[in-house]
This record gives sequence, structure tokens and C-alpha cells, in this order.
Amino acid sequence: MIDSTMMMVIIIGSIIALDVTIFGNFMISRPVIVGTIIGIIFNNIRTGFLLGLIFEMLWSNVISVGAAIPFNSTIFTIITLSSIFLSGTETLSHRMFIIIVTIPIVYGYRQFETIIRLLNSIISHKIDKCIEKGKEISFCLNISIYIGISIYFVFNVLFLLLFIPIIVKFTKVVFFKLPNNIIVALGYTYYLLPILGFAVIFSNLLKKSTLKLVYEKIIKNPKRKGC
Amino acid sequence: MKKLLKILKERGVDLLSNKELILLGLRSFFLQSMWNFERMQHLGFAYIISPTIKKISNNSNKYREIMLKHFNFFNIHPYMVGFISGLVVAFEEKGLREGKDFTNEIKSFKDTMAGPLAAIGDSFFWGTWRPTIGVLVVTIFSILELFNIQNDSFYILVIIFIMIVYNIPHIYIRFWSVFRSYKRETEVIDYIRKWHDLEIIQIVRKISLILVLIAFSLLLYIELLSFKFILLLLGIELLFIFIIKSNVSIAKIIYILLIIIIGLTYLNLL
Repeated sequence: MIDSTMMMVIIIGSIIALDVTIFGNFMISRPVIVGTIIGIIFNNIRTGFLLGLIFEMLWSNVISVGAAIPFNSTIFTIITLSSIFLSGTETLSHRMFIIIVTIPIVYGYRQFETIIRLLNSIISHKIDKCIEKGKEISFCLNISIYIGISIYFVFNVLFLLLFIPIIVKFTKVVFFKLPNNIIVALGYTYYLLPILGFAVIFSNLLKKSTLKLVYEKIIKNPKRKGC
Repeated sequence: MKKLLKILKERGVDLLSNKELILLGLRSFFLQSMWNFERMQHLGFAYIISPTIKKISNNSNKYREIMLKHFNFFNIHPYMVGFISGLVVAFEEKGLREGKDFTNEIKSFKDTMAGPLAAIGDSFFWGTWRPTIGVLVVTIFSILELFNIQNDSFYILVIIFIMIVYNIPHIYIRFWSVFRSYKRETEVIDYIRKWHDLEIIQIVRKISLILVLIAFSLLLYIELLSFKFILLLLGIELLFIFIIKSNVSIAKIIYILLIIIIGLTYLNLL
């Protein structure tokens, strides 16, 4: 079930996922870039780029502020794209099926991320004790950073290793048994994703006052002077 | 740069070389490696300043004494940490050189500056610059589609290009802030006050809006949709915008949409 390509995706994906918070924040973890990289691994760059772009648009309003742990669009892109490529078929309905299966899993990922943060608190207390005992501060700090990066990396590897094969297997078993109407509906929903993506971008950029003006002048009272 | 060197000469020679200041900038990439709910980035911040503090305090007891002051709660936008780390190092160095204790001053500006700097970073980099880069990719993609360019190497070039564009201000602010705050000390606070960050954000957002409108129009044009279909799409678009503005999550919208479409297919309306 777990082949060398999947292992490569899991390792590369886990390294890239460090960019979200743990190291750098270079934007390499953005869906459009992750999507293209996974596309390169599976030798299907256009699909990887296109899906990454759609996910980039859909989750462009998700930002990490303060202690909040937002929806991780990087993990979502890694799981979705690798499951699409690994499960064989690439119809639009099939893609959409994997998307709707992956979303709740990535919401669950937030709980695991919370556990990592709590684990980091425990480690930080250990570091305090390490310093209190008179150990070299720089040594304790270096250890803490290595532990922080390692925990996150190992956790991501395990998470991807667990869920990618499950989704691939689940898709192979369930998708082809779905009634035709649902398969058609999945295809139509997929068509609407880019439109929803544009709506996310527009809603980020347009102020509420502008939308209110559009509503009042164009929708509610279209005959008003100046419209 | 010449102006900065002149100021440095007036103040006396600094102990830290550019190499050490670059190291401060490089270590800032690890700020959030040990992020936790209790003291957030405190270990990351201590990790950033540790080698520099070691360098300025040859006495190991002094190093320990200074470092222990920096294990308190700390939270800032990761790109803006250079302002604080540069200032902390500058004041600690000044304290050692002049034999004075600047603990209160350091604590004061760490507490008071971190919040506003985090707000600037969040609103500019997370809230404006990152979405703008996303919009730029969509626009480039729509132009590629317009000219029917579907070559894989172009997609790779696009992502390399946007990574460079995104990281120019990112890397610049990380290193420039360290140099600026170390060499200008508290003058940097007045400098930040003079920033027209809100105006810059407004300009970038307007550019972003123009780009997304271009991309949207181009994609509609490429699909050669009929006028009625375009009107229908615009209606759906407006509906989506109003739903998103009502704080409904994207995941919920997708599931509700799917349920509605399944209903419509069962009613043979699609």
C-alpha cells in the first residue's frame, strides 16, 4: 500500500509543512507551490498547479493571528493531491470526492496541532529546569529548537502516513459504489470551486461598506440616478 | 549606509560586526520552532539573541544573567522580530559598556513594541501581501490560458517567480530591521511611527483588486460563455461573497453547495 512515491511525498510534504510556522515562513508551504511540487513528483504538474491554485484562492483568507490555530491548507493540499494521484482516476467528481473527505480530517489536524503546542509548553518547563540546574543556556536553547522542529516533523510524517493510505483505500472502495446522481453532483460542485475561490478573494478585498453600496444601489434600487 | 556608519563613529565603535547582526537575522527564522500557549515565542527569541549576547558579554556569568531576563512571555509577527532583537542587543551592549542597568527600558520596549509591530506584520504580510501574491498567480495563470500556454515549465517558472516576489520584502525586513534597530537604537521607534503602513496596505489592496478583476474577466472571456451564463455566474459570485461576509466557513459552504446540487440532480433540474 505504501510505495516509494508515497513515502517521498510524505517526507517532502512534512519538510514543507515546517514552513507554515516552525521554520522560515518563506511561503513555500502555500497551496499553489505545494500543489506544483506534488505535481512534479507525480509527473502531472498542470493538475497539481491548478488544484493548488484553487485551494490557494479558497483558503486565502485564513491567517494565523496570536494563539489561534487556523485550518492548515498545506496539509490539506498534500493529502488531497497525493490521494488524487495515488487512487488512480482523475475525473472531476473523483477529485471533489477526495476534497470533501479530506476537509474534516484537516479540521481534526488542528486538535493534534494543539496537542503539539501543549507538549511544547511541557518541554519549555523542562528547558527551564535544565537552565536552573546550571547547564549551558545556549546548549539548552539549541536542544529546545531541535526538539521543536523534530516533534513537528515526526508528527506530520505520522499524520500523513496514516491518512493518505486511508483516503486512497476509502476512495477506491466507496467512490465507484456511489449512485450516478451523486457522482454528477460532485462534478458540478467541483466546477463551482474556482467561483467560490474568486468570491473569497473579492470578499477579502471589498469592504462591507462597498458591498452595502452595491446592494442598495444595484440590487435593491437599480433605477436610482447614477446607477 | 554611509549615514549609518557616520552615526556609529560618533557613538564609538560597536562591538558587533555585520556578521553577528546577520546571524541575528538568520536565527530569526527559528523564532516559532518552540511556539507554545504559555509563553509563545520566548524560547525562539532567546535562541535568536543567545550567540550575540555571548559575544558581547565575555564573562559567562554576565551572559547567564542577561539571558535569564529573556525567558518571559514574548509574541510578535515572525518577520518583525528583528526590530526587537536588534534593540535588545544594542541596549544590553550599551549597558555592559557603560556599566548601567537598562533592564527596565528593555522590558518596557519589549512589552510595548511587540503588540503594534505584530499588528503591522499581521495586517500587511498576512492580511495583504500574501493574498496579493495569490491574486498575482491567478492573474498570471489567466494570461497563460489566454495565450494557450500550457507548458509545465511555465508553471514551475511561475511559482519560482512568485516565491522571489513574495520573499523580497520578507527577507529585506528581517535583516534590515536588525541593522536599523541595532544601529539607531530608540530612534527606530520614531521611524516606525512615521510609517505609512495603512496607506501602503490600501494601495496594495487596490492593485490586488485590479489584478483579480483582470483575471476574472480574462477567464470568463477564455471560456467564451454566453451573456446569460455570465449573468448567472455573477449572481452566484455575489451570493458567495455575501455568504462569506456573513462569516460562514468555506468548508460549510462547500458541503451545503454539494447537498443542494445533489438535491437538484435528484429532482432532474441539472
